[in-house]
Amino acid sequence: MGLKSALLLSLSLISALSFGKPDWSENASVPLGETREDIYGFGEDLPRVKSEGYIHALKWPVDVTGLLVPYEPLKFFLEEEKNNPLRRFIERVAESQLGYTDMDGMYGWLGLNLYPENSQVSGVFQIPYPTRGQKPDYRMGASLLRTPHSPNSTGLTFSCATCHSGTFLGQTVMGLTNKRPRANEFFVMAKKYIPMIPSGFFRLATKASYEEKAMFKRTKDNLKWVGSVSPQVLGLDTSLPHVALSLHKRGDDAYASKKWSRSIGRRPRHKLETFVADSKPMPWWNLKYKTRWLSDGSIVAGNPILTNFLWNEIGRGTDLKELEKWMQENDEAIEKLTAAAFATKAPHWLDFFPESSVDIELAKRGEIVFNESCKKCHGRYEKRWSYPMAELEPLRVQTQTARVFYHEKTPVKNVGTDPQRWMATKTFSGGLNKLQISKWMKTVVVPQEGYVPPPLEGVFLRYPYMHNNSIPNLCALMMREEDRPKVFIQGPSQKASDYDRECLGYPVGENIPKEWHKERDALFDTRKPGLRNTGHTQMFYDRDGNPRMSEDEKRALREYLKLL
Amino acid sequence: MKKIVAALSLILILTLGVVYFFSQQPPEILVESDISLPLDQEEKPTAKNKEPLVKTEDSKGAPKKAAPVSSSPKSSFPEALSEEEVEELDELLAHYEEEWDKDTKNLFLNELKLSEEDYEDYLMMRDGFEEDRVEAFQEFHNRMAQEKGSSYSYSPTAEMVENEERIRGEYLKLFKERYGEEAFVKYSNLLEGYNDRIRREADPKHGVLRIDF
Repeated sequence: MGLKSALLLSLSLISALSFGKPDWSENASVPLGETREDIYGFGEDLPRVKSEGYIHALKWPVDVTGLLVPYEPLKFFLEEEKNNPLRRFIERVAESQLGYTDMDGMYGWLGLNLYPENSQVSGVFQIPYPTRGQKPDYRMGASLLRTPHSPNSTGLTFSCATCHSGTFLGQTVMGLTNKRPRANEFFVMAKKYIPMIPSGFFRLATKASYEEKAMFKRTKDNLKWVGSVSPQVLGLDTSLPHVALSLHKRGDDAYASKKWSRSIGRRPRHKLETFVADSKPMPWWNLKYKTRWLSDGSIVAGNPILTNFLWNEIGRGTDLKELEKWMQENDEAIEKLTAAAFATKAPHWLDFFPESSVDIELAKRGEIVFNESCKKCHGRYEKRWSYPMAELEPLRVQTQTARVFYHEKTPVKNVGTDPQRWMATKTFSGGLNKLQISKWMKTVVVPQEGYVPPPLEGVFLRYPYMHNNSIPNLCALMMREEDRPKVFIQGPSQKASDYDRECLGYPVGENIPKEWHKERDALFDTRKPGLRNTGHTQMFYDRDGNPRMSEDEKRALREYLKLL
Repeated sequence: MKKIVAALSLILILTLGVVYFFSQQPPEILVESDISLPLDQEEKPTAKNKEPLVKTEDSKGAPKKAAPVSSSPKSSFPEALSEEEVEELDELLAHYEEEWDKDTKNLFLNELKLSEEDYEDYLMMRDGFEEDRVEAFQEFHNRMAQEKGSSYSYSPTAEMVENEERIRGEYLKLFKERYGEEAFVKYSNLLEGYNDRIRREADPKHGVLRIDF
């Protein structure tokens, strides 16, 4: 490299660093051993920005959003009038009683997580309150908005935290994938029932104001442009088909306008109406290591937070010109939310369990096994126990991960896991890429063959495993395909018996808590399409099915993994 | 006048009948009609304003008072109703309303063996229908005024008819879902029979009334 070009390169690097402009291009890379934890270079300001960014994650910032439920009428409908005509109507149509009789019951059904009792708690449990320091009387993800379309009325919608916060052993963790959300199911229900309710009847039955009625009508109109599909099982997410089906209803123009035409009416049904492409959202603490997004790595360029807004709003029937304008005018909110997501840290085993639950020598043996069998795809993790004099440090320090050597460019591998999710991307990537707003955002979707082998920090609470949740715990992951559990239950995580500490995941077989069997939509059946629990076996078994690891080595490997 | 009037439509059957409505500025906005129908001046609804968009007693498809026809250049339009004629029409509407109330109550409570609550839900649907219809009409007027200026004239359009039918369709669907197929068929038969009777009894010079819901 000549002196001139070297100078130019270093100048451009300095410039990128000083202005904190992240590289969202397809060529982006993260040097080995480094991260993009402070992606905009906020430095000492990062904790403050992160907290403000979390507020945006907790309260949906997009005020041009297409779907808002008038909050007060909904509350009135659920809580104050048990004999409400609208309730009678819905119960008759649904042929069953609504499963809840107040707002918190509805939030609970939706799987929304509880705010911590104290917003000042430290570490991974720190979650700010979006209500000026006071604990909200609603759950995480519920967003109460005033918008330009309805400035005097409060609308309810749902934010990032609905799916990107989770509960582990009763503790709420920001960035952890929600194991039991019913957000997609909520859309399915909204699509089914809301169009049946004329606006005037809604207003009279819920004592709504005229502005709230207009909000309801706008939501009803926008729902016509939403395509939704139920997940196969609780815990999975149908965002991908949701976006694809919604886009399929819109025009072919650059802004996918919401104008019905004969050609739209003549379109064949979209493949994803029936082809299962369920997956789960990824944890936020992995973002800092990655250069491409989604479980299949198909978003190869662009800020993933902007893509998240775009996908969500296509799925809410929003006008894309309005959305583009909102994005252009709200770069600060977008930046803060992006910074917060990238700065999210993975929880540590000792945040939940006592030191007596750690066998550090076993874990060190597991590290050797890991580096022989798993490092190539999942990266290398430099533990503090390998530092000089580490044994003098407290166990918490010894077991910390000092550095992660993931890939400079995030890879995609096909290890034989269920292919339906990555196959589904092909059905609508073209439509997304040609949108004007995608071009402005510089987001590019390229279908892949396989999935991203993710960084493994905090893997102990990311169960069930694989993009499609098909493997309940790491013991099952290390089994031959045919020996893995065919069914298990996607239960909650509130108490010790909800978690298998040896196998790091859901209890299976006879260890499944009895009360879990009541929830029929939580039964995970790996024999269903898109839910297969195949693949990821070559590191454990050779081609003839002979084990590559002893049971002791597997146990050591799990001990190591739980401390990542 | 009671609420039912909302569900009554004046079917404008005079040949090439055109409807005139008075909206924001009654003397200036020309609304073509065989019978002049005034829409009361109203405020833009706000969150605090829980009153209907339009004072529906006066705008449920039938006027309390005849509105004056403006000095339109189109001299061939029919004259407005006299005050006596309007009163007559009012009485007629009240009469049909009362009868329709009785018939529907009988249908719900005696024939279909439904409860008082069920009947009240129906009355609420009827009010909602009226409100939505008036609102859709108002939206249409506002748009026309925006597009064509404060003084405009128009003929009943396919869009208006479509709007009306869409809203009616929504309520009929709601009825069917709420009370079931059998109740819906009986209700539809009652409605059809009642409208046939009104048509037979109608005085053509006043147009024909129809119950929509």
